[in-house]
Amino acid sequence: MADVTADTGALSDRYHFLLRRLHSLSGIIPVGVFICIHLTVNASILAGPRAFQFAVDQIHNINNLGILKTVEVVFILIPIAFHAIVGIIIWLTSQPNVTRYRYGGNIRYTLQRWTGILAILFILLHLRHIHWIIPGGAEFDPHDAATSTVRAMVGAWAGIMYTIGVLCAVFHLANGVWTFLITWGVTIGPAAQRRSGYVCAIIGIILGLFGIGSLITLKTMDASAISPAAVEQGHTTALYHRADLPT
Amino acid sequence: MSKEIVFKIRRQDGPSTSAYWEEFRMPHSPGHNVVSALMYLREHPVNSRGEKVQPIVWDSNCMEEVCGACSMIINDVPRQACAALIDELEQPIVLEPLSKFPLIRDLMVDRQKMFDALLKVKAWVPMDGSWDIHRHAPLIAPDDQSIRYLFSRCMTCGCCMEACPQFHENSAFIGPAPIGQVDLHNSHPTGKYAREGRLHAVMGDGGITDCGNAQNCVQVCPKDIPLTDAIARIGRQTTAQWLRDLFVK
Ligand code: SF4
Ligand code: SF4
Ligand code: FES
Repeated sequence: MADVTADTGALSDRYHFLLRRLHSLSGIIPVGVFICIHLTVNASILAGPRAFQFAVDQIHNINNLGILKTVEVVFILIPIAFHAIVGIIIWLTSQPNVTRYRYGGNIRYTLQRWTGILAILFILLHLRHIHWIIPGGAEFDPHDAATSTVRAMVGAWAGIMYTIGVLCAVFHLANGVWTFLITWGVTIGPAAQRRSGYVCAIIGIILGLFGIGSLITLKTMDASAISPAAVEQGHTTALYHRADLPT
Repeated sequence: MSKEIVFKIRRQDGPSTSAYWEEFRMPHSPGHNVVSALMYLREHPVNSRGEKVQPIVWDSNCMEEVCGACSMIINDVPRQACAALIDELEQPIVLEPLSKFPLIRDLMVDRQKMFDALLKVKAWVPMDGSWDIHRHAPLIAPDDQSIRYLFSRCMTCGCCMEACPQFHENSAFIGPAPIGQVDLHNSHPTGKYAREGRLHAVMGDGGITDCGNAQNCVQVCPKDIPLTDAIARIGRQTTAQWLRDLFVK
């Protein structure tokens, strides 16, 4: 008979556990937190160019310390890349079977995998489109956030890509919070999991509305009609270090 | 009620030959279940075209839904053939073997993987100790008893494994039923002394982290075993164990 006290966990096996738990955690901290901040900052455009500029300045203020790009790479891009790579491995080991088992949980399971893959593609396109890490895209000017973003969002493909991408990312995050709570053993019984499901659905709906709301606003805004005075007011309300502003 | 029972059966002559569908018709009589109907067809191995064929092979034993041997996919649902009453099934009744276990012949599969997994996770209460373990039976609170009773009814039938999108031949995942048994034995007053070994057994490749929370397992389990509760509880216990391994040992 096998020795009941023997430890069957080999060292490589332990890393498996660590890797999967880190994957689960990284989806919430920092990636999930970042997405919430990102979509909330974006949604400030709903209150007009001035509010948007103010919100952008709050973030870009840390560049007064010269660390914005480092923070972006270390706390956002690397965690997303880690989450994506482990996610692809997980995706490869799944055999979705929704056609036979049409349960809600199974549909969410399958969607979680496909929205993850779509979100990876979207993030790559998004970086190509407007982020400095892949040069040559549209210019986001933190000193005139509204005008530059509205200009960048011109074209039907941008609207389609961002709508699909944002909704995928938001679903993946909201459902990810729900499974995170199960994975870490916080919600155990079906009643607790149902209640956490409602909370996650609300989180998802709010973030989805933020994302789609800001998209619609950006698409309907006329870049040439954005008053420089409003942008300037946004700046003056922020602590923004303006020594490097173009005159 | 129709005068006939019509079966569409997915057959396969051996592990490496290809599968084919064959239709069978037999006279209806009340009270048949799928196993008793298969027994009739074994005595009358004639397909609906009137050809005499090899009798259909399947597995069954207890005939009262406790041994788990007769699991197959009946009208798209993995369940026990002995407990599937013909009069409650839509016709033609479609029978397929479980797809996640090696096929032996026709509807018979080899569920050895599950028994291996039970061995791997040490799903038993060790009784050999340096102390007298039988001095008095350990007390278990009635509430805990009723939860543990649910898990004790697992018959390793494989339905939960069949429905799990994470359990298949290209994945190392041990599947939901063995995780339920880890929970059952970890919650036993004597069994909990060996809980560390069980937790380590589900912390590696193919262990608890490979569950994707599709929750199909709990939907299809014929014994209504709260498998997802066990998965979340073992998720919590393994996290704690991992921290103990890291900081205490
Ligand atoms: S909850 Fe986990 S074990 Fe159950 S069917 Fe889903 S993936 Fe499989
Ligand atoms: S948990 Fe349920 S479905 Fe799974 S093997 Fe046990 S009895 Fe069968
Ligand atoms: S024969 Fe035992 S469960 Fe059906």
